[in-house]
Amino acid sequence: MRLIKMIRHDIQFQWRHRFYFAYMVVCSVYLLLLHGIPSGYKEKTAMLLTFSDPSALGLIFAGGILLLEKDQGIHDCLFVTPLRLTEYLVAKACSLSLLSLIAAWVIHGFSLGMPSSPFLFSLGVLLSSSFFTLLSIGVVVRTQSINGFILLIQLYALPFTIPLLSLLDWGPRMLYSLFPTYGSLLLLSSIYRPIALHEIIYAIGILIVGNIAIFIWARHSFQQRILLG
Amino acid sequence: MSRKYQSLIFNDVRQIAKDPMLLASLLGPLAIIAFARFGFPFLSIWLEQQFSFYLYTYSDFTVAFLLLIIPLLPGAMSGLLMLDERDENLISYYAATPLTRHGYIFYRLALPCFLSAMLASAFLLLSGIAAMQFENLYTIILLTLEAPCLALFLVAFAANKVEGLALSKISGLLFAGPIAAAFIPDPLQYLALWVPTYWPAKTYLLGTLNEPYFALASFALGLLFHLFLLQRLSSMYLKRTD
Repeated sequence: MRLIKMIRHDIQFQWRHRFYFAYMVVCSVYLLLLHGIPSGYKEKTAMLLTFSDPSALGLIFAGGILLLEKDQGIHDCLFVTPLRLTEYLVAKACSLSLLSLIAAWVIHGFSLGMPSSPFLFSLGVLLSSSFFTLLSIGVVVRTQSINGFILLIQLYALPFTIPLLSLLDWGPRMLYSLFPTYGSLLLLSSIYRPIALHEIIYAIGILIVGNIAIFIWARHSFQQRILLG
Repeated sequence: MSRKYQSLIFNDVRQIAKDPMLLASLLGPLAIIAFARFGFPFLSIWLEQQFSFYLYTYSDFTVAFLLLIIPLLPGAMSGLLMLDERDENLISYYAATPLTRHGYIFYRLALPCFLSAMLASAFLLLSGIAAMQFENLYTIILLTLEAPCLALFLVAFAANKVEGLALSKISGLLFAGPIAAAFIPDPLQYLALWVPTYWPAKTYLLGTLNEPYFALASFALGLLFHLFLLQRLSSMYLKRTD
């Protein structure tokens, strides 16, 4: 119950701070862009856009929200209530993933229509978005300013973009399969090609493992640097 | 240089070590220059071999597009820094010092202007794909004004750094300026006149087409538009800070 309330509160916060408006504008621009792309390249471009923006929107926004909460001294008050740190982090991941999902569906729905596998597409967006949100939280507690955070997050996120090279058929696949984001790309590629069962199991598995690992890291970082720091 | 800015400059120089984003606004444009100089020829050969796509046909557009990133980086950085300082109530402290609030705004906007002017000039001279023409001077002046426009847009419309991030996302729309100037046919292109980045791109492209009078007219209109924006946005920002 507390978790649902927290998620609702986070969504209201994001609405009030114009996240939904910003993404309405961003989605419109992407739709215009996709409109101008030749049909042979449209699906792959839509997948890349979905991966690099809606799926990764938490990367910048989660950090910004945390920095603002830190400036406003919200954390000290928040964690004297029964709210647990796990619920706080899960609520952030869920609320931002919901925005990612809506944006991804708008981009895809209006440019290419219904994805061939709506479930896998949605799962890919949700798990990728929560992964990037938790990564952002783990990084932002290590910085003091918004600009410092924006730079540092690029450094932390850069290795997770390596699987993008697989789209150019560069390097061995085994290397990419170590990254959770390779699972994201596989699930998102369901919009333009059928995915084998073993690929689905691998993609969901690596994303869940990645989410759990990054959650533990973000939780520990938050505890050490914000609550005990 | 006035003594009142000295402590801010010393503080910012110290900040470069602590807050590497200031350094990034310098290194980012340098990376763009390096890409245009070394990466662009390599990419064009690769695209030609793989897809029979001749990237050099679009080199003027590429210059107009890459040039735009140069002021947007320090502009966004400065805007977010001002929001950070406002969130931490630092601006009221600065306002109470001999620096005054106006001095603070001037200082925060002067640095991105200076960086934009220097780095845009460096791009035009060193990238190897830019046309050497008199109109580049107009383009540099307009690009220099882009940085404070973006910074003021963020601080005038955002209540805090989170809203600043959302707005900086929307400012990605500014990339529509050079796209419209290069690719959209004439009557429809006028829809982009309200996009500030349209003007430096259009001025540069008119220069490459050997249209000196149209380029001058584009510069003059763009300059007026940017000065109008600066005036409106700074008064909105001051009203919000009050």
